Amino acid sequence: MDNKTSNLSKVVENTLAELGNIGAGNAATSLSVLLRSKISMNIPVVKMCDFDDIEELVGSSDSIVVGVFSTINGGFEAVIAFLLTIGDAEKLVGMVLGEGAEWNSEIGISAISEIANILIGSYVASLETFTNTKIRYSLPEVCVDMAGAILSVPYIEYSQIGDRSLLISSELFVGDYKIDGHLLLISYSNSYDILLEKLGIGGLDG
Amino acid sequence: MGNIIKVGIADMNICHSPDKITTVGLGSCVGVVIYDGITDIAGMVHIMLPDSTKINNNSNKLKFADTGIDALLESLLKSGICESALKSKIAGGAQMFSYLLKSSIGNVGENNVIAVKNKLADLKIPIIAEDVGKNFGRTIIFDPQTYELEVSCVGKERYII
Repeated sequence: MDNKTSNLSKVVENTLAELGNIGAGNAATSLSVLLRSKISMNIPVVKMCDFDDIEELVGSSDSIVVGVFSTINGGFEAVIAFLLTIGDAEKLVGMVLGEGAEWNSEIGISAISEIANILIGSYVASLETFTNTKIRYSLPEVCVDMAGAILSVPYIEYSQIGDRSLLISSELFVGDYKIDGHLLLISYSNSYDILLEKLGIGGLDG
Repeated sequence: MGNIIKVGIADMNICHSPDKITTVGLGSCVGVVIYDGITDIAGMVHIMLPDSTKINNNSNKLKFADTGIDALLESLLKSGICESALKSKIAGGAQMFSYLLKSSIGNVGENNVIAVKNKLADLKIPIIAEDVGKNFGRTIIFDPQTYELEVSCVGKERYII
């Protein structure tokens, strides 16, 4: 493994944290409007990580999660994922569709997918501004399963290129409901170099 | 009661009964168990990708069906498994998303299963049982005493293959 991908310099780390902050911040604002609820968020975690680190974010690899994934492409490639526990998915669907609505009904999953679409869309819009690049993103796809099984999908894709991925992780907390959602941006070595270049900090990660 | 030995992603391990061996959250990855039905030894590898020869970044042998199964077999033979009686059980190789990340190598899960089967056929190790494909994740536990592979999935009863 080369040094370049094992550690990030402080400048790069801070810039990417800010990117995550603005992305998730915009996403939080959109969600707040939709849900008419206060949304707070933490300071994003930025790291070069291997699979175990990604898994740790959501507990153990056999914990069941609702994941909504979208791929983005703007010269660099990444996956944006929104992850919820089953309990939080239930609360979120309850907020949108009224109490007693089943999160895993067709309409429940569709609501989660739409919320994720809004979050991802806002995140991407701020990425576009930040990098001054047109970014396309795929229609989000929902998957409910073991965290390990779901998160291994982008990891496998990227492991063809490198052993480690760039992870920017933000946590959103929805008002009094204590809903804790993870918004992740996962990218890999080649792409992440392009991203840094676009941010004007290419070459600072040695 | 023995311990349960864990196998991570792109990882392998060997166990002796009364211990059991497990890997958690197989998506498109495939879990391959090799045992002999005679001794109390079994080994498991959790492979991620089909073919080490098609990828430059192939230093971790356990990632790939071809090199991963070789590494597991080598390690099992050192532990004294009966070479003439080798058998296997496999699980995993799902397609977790229907259209997301349709990668350059197509359906990774399906390709992993094909690669594992080809490799086991090359090595003349019969597959006694399999639970592969579809669109859900699996957690598996193998008991080298009973040779049972227990599969658990979200929203389903556990079953034994």
